[in-house]
Amino acid sequence: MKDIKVLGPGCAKCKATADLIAAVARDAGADVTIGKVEEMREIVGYGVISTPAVVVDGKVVHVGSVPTREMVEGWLA
Amino acid sequence: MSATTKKDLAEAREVCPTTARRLIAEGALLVDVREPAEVERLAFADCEQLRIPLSEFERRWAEIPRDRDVILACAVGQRSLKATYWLMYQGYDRVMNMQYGLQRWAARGFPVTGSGAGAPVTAGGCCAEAEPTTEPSSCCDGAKAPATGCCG
Repeated sequence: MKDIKVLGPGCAKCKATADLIAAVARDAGADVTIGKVEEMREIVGYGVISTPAVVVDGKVVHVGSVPTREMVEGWLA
Repeated sequence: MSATTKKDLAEAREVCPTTARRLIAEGALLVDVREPAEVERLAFADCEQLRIPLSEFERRWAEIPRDRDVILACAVGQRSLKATYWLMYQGYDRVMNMQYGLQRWAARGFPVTGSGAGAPVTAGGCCAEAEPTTEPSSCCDGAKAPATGCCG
């Protein structure tokens, strides 16, 4: 199971990112947990200043924008 | 994407504008992280400062010295808090955030410059966050007490 976290202060782009990942995971039948990290100190603790950002199994894989569907599919492969 | 290390950052040290002004007079460096258009309208004056917009911070943070006290500031203290945590992530241990930012600084009558001097300060730039709920006239009355003596 992949552990995915969306880092962001709860903005519209952060929600869009989480929704996209959930949709792609559902379509792919992928076994994932999706969490949100909204507290500034914890977000920056990942070495991230631009949000939304995505962490997959503890590794930051994307920062600063809503990812594309293709990117998400790559993370779930 | 390069690998990053997750760090459990300590709570950032925060100071009110009055304490910040004293620390600056004693040698601390002010770093204004507001965007250029905001700085053009209104800026901190009569103090040594660096201007590094938050939008450029990931690229330029290394310009900030590690060997002196550094006070991060923005319009209301939210973006600068993020910048403070970023520097802490990078290993800086002499950084602090100015609570309530330029808005409170100007409200207290401290030196400012720019075309908007005298006008209310608003949080601008990207990702501007909520303004403080406390009255501008009451110093250091926020939920977090500053780590240093306030208004001293």
